[in-house]
Amino acid sequence: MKNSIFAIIVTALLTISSYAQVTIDFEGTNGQRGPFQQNCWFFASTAIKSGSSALNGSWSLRTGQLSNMPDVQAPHRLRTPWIDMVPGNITFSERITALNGGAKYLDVVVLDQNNNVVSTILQKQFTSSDVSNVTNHSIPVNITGIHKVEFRWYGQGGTTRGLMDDLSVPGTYAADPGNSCQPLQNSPVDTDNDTVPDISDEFPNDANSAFNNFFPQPSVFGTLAFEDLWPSQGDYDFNDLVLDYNYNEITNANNNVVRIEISLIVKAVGGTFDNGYAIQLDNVTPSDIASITGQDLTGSLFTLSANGTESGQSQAVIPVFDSAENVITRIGGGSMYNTIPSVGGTGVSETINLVINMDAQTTYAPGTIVYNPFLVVNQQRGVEVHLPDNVPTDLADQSLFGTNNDASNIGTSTYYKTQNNLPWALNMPSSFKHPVEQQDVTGAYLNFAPWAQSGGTNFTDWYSNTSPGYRNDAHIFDNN
Amino acid sequence: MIYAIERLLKLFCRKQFFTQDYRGKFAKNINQLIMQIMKNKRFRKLLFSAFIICTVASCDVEEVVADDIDPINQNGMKSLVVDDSFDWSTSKDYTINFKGNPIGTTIERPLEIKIENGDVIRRVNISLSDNVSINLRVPSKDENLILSWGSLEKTLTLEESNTIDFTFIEPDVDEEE
Repeated sequence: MKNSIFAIIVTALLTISSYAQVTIDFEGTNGQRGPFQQNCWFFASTAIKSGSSALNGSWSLRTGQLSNMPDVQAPHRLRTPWIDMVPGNITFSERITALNGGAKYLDVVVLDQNNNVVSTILQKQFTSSDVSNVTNHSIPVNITGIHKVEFRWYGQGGTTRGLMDDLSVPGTYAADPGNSCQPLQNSPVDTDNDTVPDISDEFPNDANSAFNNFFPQPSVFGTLAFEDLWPSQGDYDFNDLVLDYNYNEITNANNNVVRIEISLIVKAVGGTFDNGYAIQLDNVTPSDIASITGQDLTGSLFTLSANGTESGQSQAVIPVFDSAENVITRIGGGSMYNTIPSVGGTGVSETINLVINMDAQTTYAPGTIVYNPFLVVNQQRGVEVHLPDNVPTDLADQSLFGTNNDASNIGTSTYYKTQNNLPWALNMPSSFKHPVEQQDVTGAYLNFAPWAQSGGTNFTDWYSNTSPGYRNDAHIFDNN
Repeated sequence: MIYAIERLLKLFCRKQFFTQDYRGKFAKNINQLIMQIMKNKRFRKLLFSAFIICTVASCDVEEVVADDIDPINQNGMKSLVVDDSFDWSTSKDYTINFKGNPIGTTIERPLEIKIENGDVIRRVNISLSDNVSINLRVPSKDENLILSWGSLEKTLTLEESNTIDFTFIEPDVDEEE
């Protein structure tokens, strides 16, 4: 019985040692060393060659001409990545292309983590028989732990080159290409066991969450600016509703979006309409949403399903607020809010923290969800204002398309633009200081017109204050 | 309320009132008045007398504040001539095709995509052997992204094309000789 158990253990150990090998046959990269180098293999004056240089398969390692003896180190080398070695045999094939000039040599050594030689497993001086005969080596080594194996070719004069192929070292790959090829850290701490180590996990205690993915960027807000007289043109001050936003798609270890966190701040209400605001996720169905928190809905503008999406929609529509009044605190009177300097009508907005929890079965990759924000004009659910060419929702009143100044055309998927291709909404990837009441955006942002007329090529940062001449501060509301 | 009436009357007093430019503003202010009145019925009685009083005052005020709308830009936006294909977008959508290492390791860690100031805007958990497509939106003004996988780091120049191939593998330079 004891003998049987011993035999099983020995067999198991032999099996493990025989399967745990780090190998290189130089195939699969079309002669490029880059993929091997990325995996922490080191080449010095050696290349991967085909044709007559191939010992086996299509590609083998070939050295430069072995015409120099080692000075500090051998001129032609191949070094493995860090390997957690186990006892076994190091195997490889080699020969030389010719033998001329002086003597030619190959040393094979094992290096420790200080790059000191702990064992020289082969010292060979080539002979003429090595020109035509491939030698298949199988060298037993009894070394354990983290080591590298290095091949060193050298010689005196002549044009001899060394060839080598099919290297196999007993052990497991133990280098980390993402840590400057240092030895791989074993079992890094992963508190939530989501396979993302704590050092990389932005949610180390939440197995369902691993990474933040921001737009525009962390702690930076973009701005949506609306005109609300659609389908009629307005005054193009783009301040009828101004919203700062920041989107964060939180993904799990499998890179699937598990929830979306959206921060919104109402910066301005430059009109008298009592507008609502919502976001359609164009490529997400309502059933893909598990739940929503953070909505600020007090009226009857939107009818919700149980999961917080708007009912009657084929795509997921997330009502955010049904009146901007819900989220702003006015200072001073009037219907205007942060659009008229020095006339009161200022105030502050609470930050709306919207959280959209995705259904656990969904597998949206970050960056693939299409956000289609829109304004609902003056409590009239069918009257929506979207960014140019963003699609209306199912509840939009299509009879308004093509009326007044609007040139929307369902047949050509043209939406929310005038005949002259002018929009009712703008989206800037940084916080945008909106024009004051009734000041056309072209007079406030002096590079807006050149940007638009260049088709978006020139002055791509027109909304910024990069340098003098970008904007006319007298036409911009700035309460900071 | 007073401000709304004043704005309405300012618009009314302008010669350009009946041009299309002012119809939008006028509609806005009319709506404002109606809303206010609907909320406060007692105000109806005061409205007529206030209207008479303010008419004269507002038309006088107009002369003083006539430059509150820059005449140079009165038709600025509406006079723009833009290409039909212009989409007014200030950002651009890219698909970055990450070309994995055919002999890469299976170690996973996040591929980080940073904008030029170093802020990380995307993290995708991958191994170096993975081939993955990454969709992301980048401000049109940005010219470069920085991609890193641990200590591997490389700058990606954003091109006109929306689809960009990317690999950390450097092209081979033959140093055999």
